[in-house]
Amino acid sequence: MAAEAELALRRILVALDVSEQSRAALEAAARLAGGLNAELVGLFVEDSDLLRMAELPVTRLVGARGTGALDPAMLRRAFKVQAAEAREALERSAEQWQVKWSFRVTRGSSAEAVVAEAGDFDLVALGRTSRPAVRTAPLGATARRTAMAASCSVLVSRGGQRAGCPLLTLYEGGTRALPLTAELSRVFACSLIVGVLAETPERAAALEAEAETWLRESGLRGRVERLDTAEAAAIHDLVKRRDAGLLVVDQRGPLASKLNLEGLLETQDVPVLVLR
Amino acid sequence: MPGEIKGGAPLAAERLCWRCDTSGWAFETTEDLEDLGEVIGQARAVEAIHFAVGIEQPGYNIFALGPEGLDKHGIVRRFLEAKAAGQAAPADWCYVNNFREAHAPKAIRLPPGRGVAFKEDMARLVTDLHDVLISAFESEEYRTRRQVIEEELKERQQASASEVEAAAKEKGLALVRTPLGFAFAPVSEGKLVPPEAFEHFPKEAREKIEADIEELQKRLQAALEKTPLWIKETREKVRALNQEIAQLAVGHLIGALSDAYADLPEIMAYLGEVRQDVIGNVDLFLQQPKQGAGPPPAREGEAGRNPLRRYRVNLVVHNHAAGKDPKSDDTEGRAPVVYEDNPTFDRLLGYIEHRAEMGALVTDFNLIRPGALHKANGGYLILDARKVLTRPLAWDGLKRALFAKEIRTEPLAHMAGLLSTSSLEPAPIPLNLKIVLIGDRQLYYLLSFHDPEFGDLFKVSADFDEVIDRSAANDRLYARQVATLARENALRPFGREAVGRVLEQAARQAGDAERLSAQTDTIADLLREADHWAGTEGREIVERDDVQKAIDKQVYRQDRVRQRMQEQITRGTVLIDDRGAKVGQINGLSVLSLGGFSFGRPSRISARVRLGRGDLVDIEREVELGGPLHSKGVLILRGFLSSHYASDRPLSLSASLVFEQSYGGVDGDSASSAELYALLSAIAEVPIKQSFAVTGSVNQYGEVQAIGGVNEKIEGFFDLCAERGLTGEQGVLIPDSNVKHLMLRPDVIEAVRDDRFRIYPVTSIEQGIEILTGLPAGLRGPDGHFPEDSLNHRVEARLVALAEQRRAFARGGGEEEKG
Repeated sequence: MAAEAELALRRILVALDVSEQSRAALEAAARLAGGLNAELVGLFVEDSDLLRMAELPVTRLVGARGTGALDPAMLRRAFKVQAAEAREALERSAEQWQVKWSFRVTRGSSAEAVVAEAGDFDLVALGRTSRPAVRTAPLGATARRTAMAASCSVLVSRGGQRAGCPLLTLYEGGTRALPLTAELSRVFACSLIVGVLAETPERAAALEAEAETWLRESGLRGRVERLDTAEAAAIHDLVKRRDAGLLVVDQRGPLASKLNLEGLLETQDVPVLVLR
Repeated sequence: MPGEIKGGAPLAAERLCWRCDTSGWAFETTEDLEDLGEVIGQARAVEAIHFAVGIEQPGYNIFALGPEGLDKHGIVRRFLEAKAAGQAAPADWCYVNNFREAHAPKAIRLPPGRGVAFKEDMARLVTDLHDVLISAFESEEYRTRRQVIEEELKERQQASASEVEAAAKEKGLALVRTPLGFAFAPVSEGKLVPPEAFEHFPKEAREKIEADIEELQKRLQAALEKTPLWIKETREKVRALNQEIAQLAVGHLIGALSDAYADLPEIMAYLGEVRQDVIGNVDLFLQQPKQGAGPPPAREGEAGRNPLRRYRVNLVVHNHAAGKDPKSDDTEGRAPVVYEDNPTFDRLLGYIEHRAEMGALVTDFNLIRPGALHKANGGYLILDARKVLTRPLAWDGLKRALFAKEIRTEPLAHMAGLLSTSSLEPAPIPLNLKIVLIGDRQLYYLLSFHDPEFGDLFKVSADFDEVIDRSAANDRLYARQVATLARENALRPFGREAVGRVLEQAARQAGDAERLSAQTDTIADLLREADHWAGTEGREIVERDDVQKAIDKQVYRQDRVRQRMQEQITRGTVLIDDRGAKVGQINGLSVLSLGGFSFGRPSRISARVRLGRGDLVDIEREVELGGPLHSKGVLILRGFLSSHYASDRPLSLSASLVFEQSYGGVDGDSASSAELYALLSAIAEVPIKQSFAVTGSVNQYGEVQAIGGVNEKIEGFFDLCAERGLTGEQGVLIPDSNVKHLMLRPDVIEAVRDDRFRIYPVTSIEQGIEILTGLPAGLRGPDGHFPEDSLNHRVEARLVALAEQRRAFARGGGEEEKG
């Protein structure tokens, strides 16, 4: 295996709102930060689009109890309340996992603001959607934009990570992601499934052998599986079949780079860590 | 011959003590004797217990009364255990959860011996249920069905939302979620229309957008209103699914258990409730961690950390069915006999423990602990009356349970009305037992007098006697008692003579040559000590000398005060004469009891007389050192004097009586004869021989009556005389009626036998005064006068003279008299 620069997650940004999925992302990020001794920064975005929308004379709020005008001042106060709530959640998680943390609030269009902030970080964690009750699209706009545009690694969570379930990592050769993968398996105290991706059966066999050796030498619990195609559906099947709790995809891999990431994120119920 | 008094002879040595005749006994040592199974001399008490145990009526509980040391406990216990052995073991009782009202746990009765099995069965059931339910709810079938239900909700929500969203899109609007709720806004090319641009829209377009938004708002509103209803429907579907799955899993497990308890309707009903509760609370099982994981989070309102405690069985009473042979020391298939040595309220009626949890004290039916009444239910409970009465509220609690015929376990503070926090109210358990209270007589009489309920609950008194009548048969039984005690205490065998000496000591303890002490504990002490002394002598068999040594050593160990008091006399600090003769002075005898050791002590009593108006001054009473009985004795003297002598004249003397050098107070009338002798001596001016000491009370007719502690009194004076030297003149006058109580020390008897000391039994004052003064007392002749030179004559003459003197005074010096 050729030596490459190792992947390390030292600074983690977590995009916070008050949704369940965001909480799941925070939980995963805090645990990761605790295990990897990384710094955790919480980001709350006051959505400027919404503020502008509130200035429209025709905008009306609809709630279960009736309708009313959307007052920009009220909206700003609501952002403050949510930011405070998000900050508290961050503080609790950070204390639980004993993580160095900070919190910042920014204003802008949600997705762009997150992508802009992500530049300084090794990993950005966020929920798959922030408005699950109404959004019909399985992948929210912020998550989609961040996953596509952020230069750093991305962790997208839908629900929490189920304890004890194995970690599935895609493997196409190369040592870049291996130490981090081993570290993750230690942090989450779970076994490993190495999903081998290859163009040819010969290459796949060679990779399988490599992966076996690596597992053995690192003293890790785990198994090696072969993926027939580098397609979202095939990966989804393997996750289901092996009851994996976290999916790790190294996007530098030749096949993984061609993967339909959006499709993969849409179908996965488990948190997905996309490494870049 | 008139003027002579009969009697006056000292007692022969043989009459001073009952010497146990061992020649008729057919054993050499106590090894040859069988254990004594019966109780000697307590026929009345034994019959009372027999009667009370036999009668099947409420209130026939027993109060066993009598002084300490009679082995009341042992006798009662042996008797009850023999009785209980023939009775069936009572039911087992357990407390289980009341699923409807958790604060009122249910009590379930089971046949003896089945409680433990039931408890174990329930514990196993819970483990099995846990496994079965977890696998049922982890099954593919369940997960899929549940997902289908949840998916349905999502689909309904999404369908309605997408519908509105699609409609909005068609109209160039977007549905946006804000922190305050949903809102519709116009979009253009996938972006929200900025407010500046919107203002430039033509009026009609703006109005159309407004109208569209209003319509969409209504549709969204309608959709939102349905959401809570859908969620509720979904939750109900999930619950129904859970119940269906649980029912399948639980049914056969509980069914299997029900077969084992088909004969017990209460258990069957309980199992039915368990089944319903498990089905309704499947979550409790599913929350439980898999093996090896940490404890589940505490649930509010649940005592303890494990919510499955609700299915446990708290076995409060467990007995053993007959025929089984359990290794434990339990009742083994018979009625229980329980002795509670610390009968507090809680330990009698049971109590409810609490556990601190998150700063609050919580409890549940598992923390109900049984009391002595639970354990003894269906059998017998022995309690010490004094302890029950001194433990706060224990007596009230016991009476309440007996009246109500049920055990109601509640916190002590509840009973006292001091606590209003929530606790449990366990179902009461029916109570049917016999209680034996053991206590002294005073306690029994106090309770009878002051507690009106006492008589209703303790109808039978088993009155234990502290003495046993002596007879040849009883002596032999007593010897067997000695043998039994020796064996129980693992002592050396006692020789025949040694046993005889023990019996003599038992008679001495009883203070009566015709009775034996029933206080087995002091007899047992004597046996143990005699055994010890035999051991120091290297003997294999305890001999009479060892018993004597044990007695002597016991006395010596307690003898310090007596010895110091005697020293005060021999050194002349306390004045007591034992020779010579004096007018108006006599040696009285008193008994002191200190810490169970009694001894006699001589005291000088003196009387002085002068002309007066018939007042008899008892100095002890004047200074309040004399008790009422002593005063009574002195007043009797006045009655005797005024009626016996010169009854036709006023008693014209003034006399004073005193116990010399007495600083601690006296009571009792046993010195009244001595006081009378001193008074007669003073009136007649005839000296009394100081070599005598006197005891005995006297009545208005001059008859001498029995007193207590005769042996100690004689020995007290004897010790003094022996120390100063026995002259052969010294002796003690005792009431004739006390002769049967004589159980004197061997050294006293020896001195009497050698004519160095004498003991005179007297029946009347006349008899006594003759011995004391050497003068005949004199009987009133037909002429109404006492014979010349008799003591009575002198007394009367003096009284007449005093009366004449007084009359002369009254005539000649009336003013003086008045003054």
